[in-house]
Amino acid sequence: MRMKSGVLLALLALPRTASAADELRVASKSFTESVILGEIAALTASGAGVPAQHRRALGGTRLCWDALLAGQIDVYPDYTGTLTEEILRGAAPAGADVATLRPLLRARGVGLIGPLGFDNTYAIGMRAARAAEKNIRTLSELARHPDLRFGFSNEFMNRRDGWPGLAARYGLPQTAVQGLDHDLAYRGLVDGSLDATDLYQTDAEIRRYDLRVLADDRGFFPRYEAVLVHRLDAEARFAPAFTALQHLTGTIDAATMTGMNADAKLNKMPEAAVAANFVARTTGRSPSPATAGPGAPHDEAAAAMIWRRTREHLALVAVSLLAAIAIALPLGILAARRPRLGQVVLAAVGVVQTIPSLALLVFMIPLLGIGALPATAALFLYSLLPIVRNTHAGLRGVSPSLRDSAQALGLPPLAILWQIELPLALGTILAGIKSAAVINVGTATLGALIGAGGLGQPIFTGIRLDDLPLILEGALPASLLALAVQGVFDLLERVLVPRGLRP
Amino acid sequence: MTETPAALEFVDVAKRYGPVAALAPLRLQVARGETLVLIGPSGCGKTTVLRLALGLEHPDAGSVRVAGVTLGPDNVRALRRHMGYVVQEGGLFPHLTATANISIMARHLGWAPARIAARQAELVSLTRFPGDALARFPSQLSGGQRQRVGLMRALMLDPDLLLLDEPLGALDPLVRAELQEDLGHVFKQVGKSVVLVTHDLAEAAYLADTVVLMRDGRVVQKGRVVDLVRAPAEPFVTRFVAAQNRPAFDDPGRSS
Repeated sequence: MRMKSGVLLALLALPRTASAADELRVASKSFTESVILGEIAALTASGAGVPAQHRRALGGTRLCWDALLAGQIDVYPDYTGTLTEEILRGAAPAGADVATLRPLLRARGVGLIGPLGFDNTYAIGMRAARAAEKNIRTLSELARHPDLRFGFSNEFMNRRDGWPGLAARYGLPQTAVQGLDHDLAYRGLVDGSLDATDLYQTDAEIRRYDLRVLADDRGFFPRYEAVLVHRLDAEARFAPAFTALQHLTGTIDAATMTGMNADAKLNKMPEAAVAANFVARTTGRSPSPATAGPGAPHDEAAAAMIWRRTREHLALVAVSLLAAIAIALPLGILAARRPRLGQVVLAAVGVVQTIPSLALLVFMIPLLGIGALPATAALFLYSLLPIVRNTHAGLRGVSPSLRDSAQALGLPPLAILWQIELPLALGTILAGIKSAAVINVGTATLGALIGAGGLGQPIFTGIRLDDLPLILEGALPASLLALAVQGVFDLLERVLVPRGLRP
Repeated sequence: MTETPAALEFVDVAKRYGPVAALAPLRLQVARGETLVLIGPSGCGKTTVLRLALGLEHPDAGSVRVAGVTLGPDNVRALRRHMGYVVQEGGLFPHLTATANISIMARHLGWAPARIAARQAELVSLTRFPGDALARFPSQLSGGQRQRVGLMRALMLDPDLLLLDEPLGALDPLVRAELQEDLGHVFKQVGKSVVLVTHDLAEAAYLADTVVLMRDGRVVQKGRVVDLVRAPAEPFVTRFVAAQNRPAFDDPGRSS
């Protein structure tokens, strides 16, 4: 267990991961196939006698790549197409294969293992019934139906080899195109709110939802051969592990991968178990399990898991909120005392608030790495505005005649602040802290995307695995936590706000 | 100049708020033990006089002297402890009980609880405040009681100079008459220098040794109330006195 509980450990979590030179740090992107491949890599390494830790479903491509370059992780699974189009954009020729990519990556201190054996290129899929009704078999035929509604994964929406390129190549006229989570897109197809989505060739859902994969008749999609990318400096430190990882080359064909995806997503088998089966099949021995990272060890009893996630969540919220109070209260007081400076301070914390939370989390990675620290820092920044604004408003709301009365008594400014102004503003200030805390509890779920754990972990894993009970295991405690925080502050207000000010 | 300096002296004090002259250069003296009432229509500058005396405002020109000492940024806080300030409705801190309001400055100065209690007991009897109401918050007190608490708070440190800004302004007539009587009683007993601001001539007549009638930031006439009536310095004095004698419902000038 990485994080026991409490404030200190949340801060210690990052140094712990950043300096873990004794363990091979494997990560995976936040979709099932990547998690399975990550799990296989971790099991293979530990099978070779190298302790390995797996940060399951760390985030998107950019996040994993940045974490790799920053030395936060050692290895993660990716695809040649992704590396060409997204990472080496402009530096690699279109459709580059492993041999072409290897020297380009080497120049960046990154090595490449593979190809692992299957090509998981993008495809566009429709419900078979819907496609038959419209008589669509190929991507070219999509152009005849401008009213079709498309829902694409956010990555696909923005990639050169995604929707923009696809629309250009096939002259697709559709305007009802939205970006959304890949796993949610399947739901959209099923309930009829979407007509087509992007797929991966090895998606288990193709079978499950009876989807028709439209033929890429103009050969638009590049190859997406699965590989492992790794830091070159890790190779020397974990030589036995890398020897074993090299042996994975060519061992996973498309059918094997689709089968493993189906086991995880349709048969609800834990990814760790799916991976263990694969490793056992290919090596003929049962592997020793990898260290559980902050991913989702499914074998843990549900209650214990919820309790652990709740504690992680509380640690994120508590540390960030306490730090925010410590900084925002003085800032609010300063803003109230110096109106000019106050405008600047309020504008600055306001701007921070406008940064989308996911973007802010990603900005934190180059500065603070992955894990609890960057998540805490982002939550801290988000908590500033409500507290600064309410402290400012509360102090400005103190009637000038009361301030005059206090001054006329001969009280010095600090005593006026402590004995008169702050008590009078306390209700407003507490309301600010309360709203910061409640927002914080909700936003902290996103921390799971950068490896901070917390109640977001079961939510995102549940979305990925289409597992409603798992989603609820995160969502319900998170809602209850928000209510509890609200209740605690209501109580605090009753105890702290002076009796003379209550109605 | 007498040998002992005046309790409060304004030497050619001028004050502007933007384009509005709140005080034309003003000369004013309050002798020791004197009760001086500043009277005049709203906006005549009488409240500004109190704010300048307390150092809540700074003069644009001239100087304010408290017991012979010129008020400045360095000594303003110390001098305020020799002044008591009472405003309309008492200006009480709503989050503090009556006792806590009264004793806030004494506690800040580190007085022993016994000394605070003894001083407070004196004041309670002086202002005829019901002792069992001391633990109440301002919102739980009547208007007259709040005003008495404000008065006790101003008198707590036994200041030499008492400054009151329309202390009876917000009270209903019966309470007002009673508190006016008590104020007169207090002023006589404590023998302090008092500056009281009002726009009520009857109140001035009851409490004042000296009345100063102000208009547009300058002194129109200084003397006893009877002088204002019998020997008005200019027609405005006559108009002001006449307006005061008219019943309120027939009085367009009162609240302008």
